[in-house]
Amino acid sequence: MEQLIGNNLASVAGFRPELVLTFGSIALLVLDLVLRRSRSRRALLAGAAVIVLGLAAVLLAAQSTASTPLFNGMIASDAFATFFKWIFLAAGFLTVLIVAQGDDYPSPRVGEFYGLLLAVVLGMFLMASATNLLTIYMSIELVSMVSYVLAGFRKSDRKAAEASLKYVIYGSVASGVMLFGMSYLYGLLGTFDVLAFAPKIAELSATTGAAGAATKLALVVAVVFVSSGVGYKIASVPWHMWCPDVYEGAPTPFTAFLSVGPKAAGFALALRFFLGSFAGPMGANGMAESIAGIPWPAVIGVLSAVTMTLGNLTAIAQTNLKRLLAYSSIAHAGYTLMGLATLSALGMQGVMIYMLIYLVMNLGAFLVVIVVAEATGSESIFDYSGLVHRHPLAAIAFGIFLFSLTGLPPFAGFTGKWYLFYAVIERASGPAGFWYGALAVVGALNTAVSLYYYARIIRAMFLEAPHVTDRVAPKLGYQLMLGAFSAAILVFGIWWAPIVEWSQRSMVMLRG
Amino acid sequence: MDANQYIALAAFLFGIGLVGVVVKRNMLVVFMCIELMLNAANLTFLAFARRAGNMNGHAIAFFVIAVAAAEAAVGLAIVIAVFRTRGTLNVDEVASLRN
Amino acid sequence: MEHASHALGPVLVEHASYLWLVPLFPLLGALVNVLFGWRFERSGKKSLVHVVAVGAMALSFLTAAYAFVQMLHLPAERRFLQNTLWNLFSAGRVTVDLAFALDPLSMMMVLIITFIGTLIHLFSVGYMWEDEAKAYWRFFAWLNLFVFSMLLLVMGDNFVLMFFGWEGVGLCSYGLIAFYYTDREKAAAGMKAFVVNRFGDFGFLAGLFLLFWGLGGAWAASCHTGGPSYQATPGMHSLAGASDAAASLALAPRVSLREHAAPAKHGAPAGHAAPAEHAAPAEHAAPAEHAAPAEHAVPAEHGAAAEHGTAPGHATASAKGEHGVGAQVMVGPTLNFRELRDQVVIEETGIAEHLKDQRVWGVALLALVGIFLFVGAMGKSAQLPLYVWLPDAMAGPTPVSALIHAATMVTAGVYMVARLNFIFALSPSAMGWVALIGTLTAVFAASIGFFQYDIKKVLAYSTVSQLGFMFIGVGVGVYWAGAYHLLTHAFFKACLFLGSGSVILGCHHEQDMRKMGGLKKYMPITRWTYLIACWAIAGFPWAAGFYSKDEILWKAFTSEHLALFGTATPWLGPAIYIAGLLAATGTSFYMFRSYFMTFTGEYRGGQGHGHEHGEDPHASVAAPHHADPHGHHDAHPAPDPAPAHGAHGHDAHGQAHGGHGGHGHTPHESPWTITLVLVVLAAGAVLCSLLGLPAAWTGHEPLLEQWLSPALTAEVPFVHKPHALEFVFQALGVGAGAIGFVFAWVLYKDNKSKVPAALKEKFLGVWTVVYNKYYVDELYDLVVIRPSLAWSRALSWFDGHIIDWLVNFAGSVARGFAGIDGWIDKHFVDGAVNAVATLTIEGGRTLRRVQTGRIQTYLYGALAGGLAVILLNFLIP
Repeated sequence: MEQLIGNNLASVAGFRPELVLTFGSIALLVLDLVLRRSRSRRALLAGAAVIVLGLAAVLLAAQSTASTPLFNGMIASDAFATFFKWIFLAAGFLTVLIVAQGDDYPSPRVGEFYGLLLAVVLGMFLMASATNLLTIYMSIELVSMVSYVLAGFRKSDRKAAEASLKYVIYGSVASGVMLFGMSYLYGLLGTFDVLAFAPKIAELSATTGAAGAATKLALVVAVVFVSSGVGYKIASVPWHMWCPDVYEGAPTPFTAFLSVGPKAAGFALALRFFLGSFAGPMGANGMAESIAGIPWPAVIGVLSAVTMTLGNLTAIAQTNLKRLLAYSSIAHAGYTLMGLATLSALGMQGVMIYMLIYLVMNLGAFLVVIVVAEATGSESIFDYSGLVHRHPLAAIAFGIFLFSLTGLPPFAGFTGKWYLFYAVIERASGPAGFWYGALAVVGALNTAVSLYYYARIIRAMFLEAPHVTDRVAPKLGYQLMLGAFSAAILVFGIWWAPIVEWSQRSMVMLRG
Repeated sequence: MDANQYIALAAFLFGIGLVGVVVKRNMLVVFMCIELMLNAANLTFLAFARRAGNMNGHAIAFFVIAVAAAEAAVGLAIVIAVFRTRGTLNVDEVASLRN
Repeated sequence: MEHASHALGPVLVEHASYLWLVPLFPLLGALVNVLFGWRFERSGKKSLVHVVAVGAMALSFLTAAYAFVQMLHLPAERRFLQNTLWNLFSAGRVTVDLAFALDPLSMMMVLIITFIGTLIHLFSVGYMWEDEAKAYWRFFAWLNLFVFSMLLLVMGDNFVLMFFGWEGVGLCSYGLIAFYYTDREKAAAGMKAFVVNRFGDFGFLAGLFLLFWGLGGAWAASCHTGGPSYQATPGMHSLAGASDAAASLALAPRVSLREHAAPAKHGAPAGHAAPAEHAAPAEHAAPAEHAAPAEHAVPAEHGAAAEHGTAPGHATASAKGEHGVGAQVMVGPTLNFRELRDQVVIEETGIAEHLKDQRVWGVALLALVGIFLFVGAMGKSAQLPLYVWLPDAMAGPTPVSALIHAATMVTAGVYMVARLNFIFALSPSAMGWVALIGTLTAVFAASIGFFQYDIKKVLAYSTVSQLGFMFIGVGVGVYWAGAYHLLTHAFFKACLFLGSGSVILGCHHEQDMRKMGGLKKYMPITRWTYLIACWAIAGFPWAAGFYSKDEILWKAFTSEHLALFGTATPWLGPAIYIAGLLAATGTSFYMFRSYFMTFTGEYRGGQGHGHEHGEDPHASVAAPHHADPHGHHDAHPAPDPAPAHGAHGHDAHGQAHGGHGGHGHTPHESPWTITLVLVVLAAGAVLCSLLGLPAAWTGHEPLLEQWLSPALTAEVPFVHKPHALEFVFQALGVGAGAIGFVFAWVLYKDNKSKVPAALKEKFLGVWTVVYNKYYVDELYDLVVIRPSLAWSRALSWFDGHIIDWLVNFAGSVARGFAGIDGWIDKHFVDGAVNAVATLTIEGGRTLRRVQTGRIQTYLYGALAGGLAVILLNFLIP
């Protein structure tokens, strides 16, 4: 007992950024009340949120990236989690910057928003490091529940309320199903510790005959149930349907955050869960094989192909930009799943790189949507016609983000796709290579299809005459952010060595 | 009673919850069904904890109860917001975001 | 070339960490103008646009000059500057770095590009200031971007970068030709250039593909260890974007040649056991080490260091090459020019032998490689039959014609052949074809130049013809002379083009030489510079063109090694010489014709001018400027005289030369930004001759040949002929120029002679054919465009009738079977091609309908999907 407590106390040292976020979140809620009458409350609150995030960043940077279990193995502190934590901090920080300048969140309640946003960031931190069914469930619930609130933050907004309702029902059912799956996993394996799963699963799969078949069925059902919780976070088929409605209805800055933060957290969790418990150790060639004779990689591969195809096809018919980007975000979940399906070091690295780049390009794309919506009050593609004449910077930046999302060189999106496809193609020469080859072909076809709807926006912006004459005059802060995002996309499109090296260093995951 | 019977009962409850979530039109009933699902999971956890002989299953039950309460609170708040803007509790009528 | 007969060692690399700045400045310039140019222009600070663009060019030139100075200080065999920035990608054993390299050849190109590029940017300031296209910034951004691409093409140290540059210059050229994109004809010209160049690119890529296919075999044969060893524990992955060379070496395990060389040496009677050899067996004994490339790289590096530092200690003259090989050359897949050159040039690798032996479809592989690569060069450098785009490209602004279509981009093909001299020199057939096509182009294009009236068209055909000369040079194997002609041509042709630009400006956008004449009175500086450039191109010994052309023709005469179909054809060299001499005579004739028509006699413009302007799109927009003559002066202090041309100057000049045009349309000299550039270029056209004074005169090799020799190492067996004969041939060359000059003098001086008109009447048939450029465009139209149109029409007819009929038939049958079902009908009637697109879009629409907006549908979906996923687990074996 004393040893347990001692471990808990010692673990606090590796938990400081999370603690800062916890107390920061509470502090912002308090500060919101204190500053009720302050004239510069908007700036002060944003400043406070930035300070909390900055402090967390400093502590995160100071923290060792050595792989250690914390709190008696409830969560892990390792380089892999740290990589994703930086993504979450960046997503939080950029969202604060966007919200601080915009009018999506009204002044009287913006403090609450920051406080809750910090809580989501905390939840994502935990998702990336959870190694126990309990912490997995709790962290997903933390992220979800606060997200429901933030999606429906404007109570009088019909669309936001609807989005929020759908989100809460869908999310609760998904996490309920996940919990039920977890209970069966617990029953089968007798432990919550994800890192201890692999040998037990291997043991289970050794049983043969009728009992073996029943065990396998139970295991598969349990894992698919658990996947529903992760799948809905990353918006993968068949747990994607909430995504367009919620993205469209929620305030745009939060949609932007939702599309990059929780998605990355979901992938971090999925990588840890699947690579940690359902794959053997990685061989010298950087590839792992699934254990227990259950074809997880194939299943994920099929989901990946279906997800990207469905996302892209449905995006074609969209005219609302937020909705279009929602479907595009589903498609991107599909591309990223390819990396998971390879069960290889390269695939894992591909997912990490893609999530990092996706953060920049997708936030950028949503930022343009915010800028245009602030000027025209519309999210319709028709109001993007002739944008280049109304605000060249916004149009050019959007063009860069869209080309990057398509995955064309020399934009960063190409880098990301390159590593994902490379991971798949690397597998194409091994066993079941044909199917990996087929997956790569489906991915390539999808990229071509996606060009169709991205190019539609670009055509509207650059080649069509403006239908509306509303002046688009983004605030200076927005302009700076657009410029910085575009520059980052261009730079990482031709010079990606730092990202690759960083992700490579970060591929160390705590193992059982 | 044998643990298996608890497990069967829990599975039954979970099924009821799941079906209810899908077919019931009243938002409040939908949320009640979600609670049912969570509690079914709790029951399974406890049953398996007895079989596995460790405390993990018991521990998570407490957390789930807390989460369920929080979920109900958030859910009801959102239901109220929806009811204020639309004047209905029928989930089918809240379908303006689509396609 | 004779001096290069000893065994060649690998290129020794000197690192120069600043090379990346050379292409960076133009890129930055382009970026700044893209991002802020429109703002500068809108806020009245238009001059900032050209300050940025010209400044970027000047900085780039200064950096290049610095590199040149550094290179001068190095001993000849170490003149290879390299700057590796980072790894672009690695696939298997091939790594491609973003790296720049300068050897003497590319150094020369870079100096041409940045120096002449700077001058032409400066010229453009005056030329484009008043242009009605209203996109000053767009022009300079394109121009800067072009220079960047061109530098990438020249400086990239591997095929990937070269190809980026290759496509980049094409794109920029397309953008600049179609600069007045409101003008349909000009946009079409841009399109033509684009399409023709794609055809050339196809050849280029096919050549590269064949080359690497052949090399792949050679590499496989010489690389006796197994395939790539893959080391990829998480954390140390082979896809590392490692930026330092050592790491990329480690990633690509290659075979050190020492293993081949060492055992052979042991068998040799000479018993001097150098320390390096002791290391060899040790390494040899542990081939397992190849699996751990990191370790392998260390001894290799070590060896290199030892070679540099201590080689004199035990190196005899004969051993030098072998030591070099043992120390540095890695045989293995590479896309890097230097590594490829080392592997091919150094005999011990056996790569060259292997390549020579390979045959495809009964033809020597290397001949095919050379010819396909040359097809790529044909497109870019406008050779028969792909030259058709270049005359049309004159639709672009004149500075563009000077920079891209005379001095730089069109020489990319020549550069590429010279760059890959070690490949071309291996195949006499490839050389023969290059030289032959070059000759035919030179003669053919020169003859078209005889009767053109558009001054820019004359220069365009002259460029095509001169490029032909360059290809004769690189074709027969006198690579340095080809490069020398490239250099001199860059000066005199840029001078001619800019001179013509000055004339066109002076004559208010008139390009027809029949409407010029007598301009020497109005534009003395332009006239003199134009005349000097004419001397240069015609080949008079007081200007540079003579030396380069003469060297090329002389070496063509003395080459007996050329082949066409695998066997040597000794007559080809002399034949090329004779044809080349003819072309030179023609060149002299049409150039002086253009000079006399433009600058001598009486000014013939002015009459009917208003009518001309009515048709000219430039003039119609220039009119509004006239109303506000000094509106711009306050806004831009920088090049004050610049706006003093064009529409603004009319009043002033109208008074000064009141007696002439009546309404003020007299020609006038151009502003200083233009004339200064002309003077510099004309000076260059004369002074360049110092670089190429023939050995027969001075007793030592021409300066440029000495300079380029480390880069152009291919050995070509020219026949030795006595110096006396060379003098005779030089006299013949001057004679050819003089004949052309005399004819032009007699026929066109002062435009008084009636002979041209009479001749034209007499040989109207010939005249018409040549004037219409041998109807080549029409031929293309007939042979390529019409058939493809007809083909597409046939296809659409087929589609419209047969397919539709089939589809309708199928539809009826389907209806027959399925009853009248509108849905099936609709989905079958959309033809086969549309089906995919329709399916995609319809799929999107259908899928969209699934998203009903009802949350419970979504939950159903999730449940059904989850069930499907569970089933999937059991369906997949």
